[in-house]
Amino acid sequence: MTIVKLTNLTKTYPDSGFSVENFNLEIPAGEITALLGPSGSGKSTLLKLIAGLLSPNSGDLTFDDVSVVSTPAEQRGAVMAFQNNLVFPWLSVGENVAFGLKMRGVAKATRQQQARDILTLVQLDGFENRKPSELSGGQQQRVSLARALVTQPKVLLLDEPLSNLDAHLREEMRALIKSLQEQFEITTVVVTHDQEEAVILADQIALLFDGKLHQYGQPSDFYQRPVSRRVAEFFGGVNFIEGQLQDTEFETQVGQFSVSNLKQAATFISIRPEHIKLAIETTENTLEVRLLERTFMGTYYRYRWQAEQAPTLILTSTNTQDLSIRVSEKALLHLPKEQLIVL
Amino acid sequence: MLFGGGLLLALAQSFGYLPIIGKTDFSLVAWQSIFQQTEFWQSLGLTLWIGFASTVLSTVLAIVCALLLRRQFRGKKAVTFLFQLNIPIPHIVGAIGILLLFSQSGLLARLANLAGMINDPAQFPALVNDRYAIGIIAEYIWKETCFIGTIVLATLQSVGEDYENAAASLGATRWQRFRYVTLPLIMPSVLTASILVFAFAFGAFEIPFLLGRRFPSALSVLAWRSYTDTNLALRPEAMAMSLFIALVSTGMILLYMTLSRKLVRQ
Amino acid sequence: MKRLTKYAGVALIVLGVLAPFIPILIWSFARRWYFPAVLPTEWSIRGWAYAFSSASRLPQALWQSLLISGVTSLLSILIGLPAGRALGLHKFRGKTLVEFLMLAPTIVPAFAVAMGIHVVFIRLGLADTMIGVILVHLVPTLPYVTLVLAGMFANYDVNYEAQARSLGATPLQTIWYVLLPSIYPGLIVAGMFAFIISWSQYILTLLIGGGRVLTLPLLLFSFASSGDNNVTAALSIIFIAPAIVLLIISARYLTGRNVSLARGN
Repeated sequence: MTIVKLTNLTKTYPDSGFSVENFNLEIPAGEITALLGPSGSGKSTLLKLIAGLLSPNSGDLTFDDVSVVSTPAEQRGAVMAFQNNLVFPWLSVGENVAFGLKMRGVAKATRQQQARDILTLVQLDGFENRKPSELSGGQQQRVSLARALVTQPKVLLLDEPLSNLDAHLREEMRALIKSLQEQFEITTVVVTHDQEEAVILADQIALLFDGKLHQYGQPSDFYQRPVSRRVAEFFGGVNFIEGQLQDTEFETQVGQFSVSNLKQAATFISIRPEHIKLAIETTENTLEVRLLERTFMGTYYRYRWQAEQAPTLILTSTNTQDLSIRVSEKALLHLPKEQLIVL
Repeated sequence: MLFGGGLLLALAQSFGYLPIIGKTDFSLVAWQSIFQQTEFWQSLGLTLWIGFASTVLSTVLAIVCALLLRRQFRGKKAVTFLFQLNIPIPHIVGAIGILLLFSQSGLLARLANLAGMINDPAQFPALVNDRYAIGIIAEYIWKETCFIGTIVLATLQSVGEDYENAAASLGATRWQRFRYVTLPLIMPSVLTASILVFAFAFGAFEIPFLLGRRFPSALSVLAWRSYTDTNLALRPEAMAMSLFIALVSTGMILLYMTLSRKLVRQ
Repeated sequence: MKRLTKYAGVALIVLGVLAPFIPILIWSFARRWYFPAVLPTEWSIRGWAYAFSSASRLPQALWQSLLISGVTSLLSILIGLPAGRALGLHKFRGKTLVEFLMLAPTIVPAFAVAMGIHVVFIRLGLADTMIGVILVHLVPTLPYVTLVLAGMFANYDVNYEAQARSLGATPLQTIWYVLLPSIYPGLIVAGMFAFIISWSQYILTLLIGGGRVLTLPLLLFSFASSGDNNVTAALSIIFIAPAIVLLIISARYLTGRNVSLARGN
């Protein structure tokens, strides 16, 4: 198992903004780490730097404390599986999977056997002689994964592995990546722009904005302890109430809220939609609202509320059951103290 | 490199720079001289006639052929292949075929005799090595119709028939559909292809050399004769004439690039 | 009635395309064919026999033609491949100018260039040699090959190469196992038409080869002007054979854009 360490890694492009500067990150061995960020955040640049497909302007990159900066891509042992699968269309499935072994001069019989074995692992046994064009998108993705794994790399690099799949295939692929990664105990880096993809796949997430590491931690941290409004918004946060901290209370235009985290410079409190509850009577952390809109979302209901004291403040809550409230009726919302995030 | 260098050298030589015969000074004599020759102007006229006549006729024919080949019929694949077959056939062979077909004792003359239209080869109109360059133009039409036609056919197939069907449902007649829908759609490829054909017909050498008259001859042939003349002093004139042809062709490329770009953007 | 016009039209096209080949084919087997006979009164294979005899110098011309065209197309691809890659993959300042410079030799008659170059070739001792002829044939073939390959590279995903490198392929292996398989349709079309363009050259060979280098078109021209229709016809058929063979092989790789550049001369 390999620890990947990025130290002051810098890669700049003179013409475009896709640069990373003085980037530091330690990627733990044998786990899945997601590099998450919007397009242009530099996450793909980092992945290609680790793969050796780009070389940094300065800084160091080590695998188990051995610098690999000057090691060419093909000798680095960090195999990348590209976003569009890039299964070579002129080769059969079997030849595709055996490609890396062939490049290393592995004998034909051996590499065919290994290709067959790994195809079984990705549930594509018997597909060796098919052409890539006969496969579905999900199957191609599995070929791409098998092709990377068969070379037994130290580091597996996955570029948006779930983004081209529809919902039920995503779940299948997620489970497959997880189980293979655990079986091979391989240090894995996943690049994605989709927070959901990062959350369901990764053991820890490095969130990047504008080429800089913004927050690093376990997936749940990004929901429970976002470091900024931007992070909270990126993870689907929608409820933000402006104000400032006065002693132990957070003062806003719709009243005072008691909070558990006393961050002095805070300018917002936030709460996730699923944590907003209905209250029966005015108590601590309640708020008078009117129902604006009710939408059935398939497995839950979504409510949009307008604050009585501040018509521009709109809050969103979700509930698995239908609340018996009609549009434009008044209600009382409770924002539990322990769920309020202070930003 | 080879290309640009060659043109520059030709330019230098057209100004009379010819170290081989001891001429190292620059002058415009050659250029002045060719523009004063009536033979040059007659050749230019003939060359322009060949270029325009072959381009216009082969373009019109190519559109007709492409429209026909687009329809469904038995043996379509074979006929389309045959139509493309002409493209890589060297012009020289086409010229030889035209010669054997069109000359006064050629196959056409024999068929005319069979039909009782003529009794003697001399009665058959002169179609090769003739005044109006009919043989030359015929060869270009034979070859370039297939070239333009293949491109138009490819365009027609990629565009499909949806627009025409839409126009038909809006009440356009067959002619209106062609005039206002099909023609504008294929115009970009037609124009670019025909510019290429014009530039080629304007500058090519082999066909007028084989099928043309000695006087007046096409510009390229005139340039070649001056170049190979035993009088080395004529060389600068040969260079000037080929450069003149190159200049016209260059204008054609610029036109081609602007047109294809503008039309692609639409 | 409509159907009839359609098939009549198609028949006319077929006839028009084939027309020049008909007398060539007949003449190659004719013995006596005087006016006004529509078909020869006597047939023979004299034209063919003579063409293949050493007296016609066909073996020499055929060999030199094959060698010149083969080497020319090989060189065109070797030089045109990196050039086409740069042109097709990258956007750079002055790209339009480069495209113009590439298009120019496909339209500007090559003999204008050859006349200018001739003096230098004489000085360098390249005139009247096969190497000189091959070099001058590159003038029309190279831009063509470059443009076709540039078109091929425009649809090429360089990430395939990165993927191969990442899987452990060395740069050389990447070229062999990824680049070449991806663009071989373009390579075939470009190579074949470079061959045909070189194969059809008359005036460039005559000018630079000075008559010392004898290729098939030169031989054909000399028989055509001597008026020996039997041999001329037989040679014509031999001359077009590679074009037809190559077209059949490359037909499935041809696209409209390729065709627009692939004009025999």
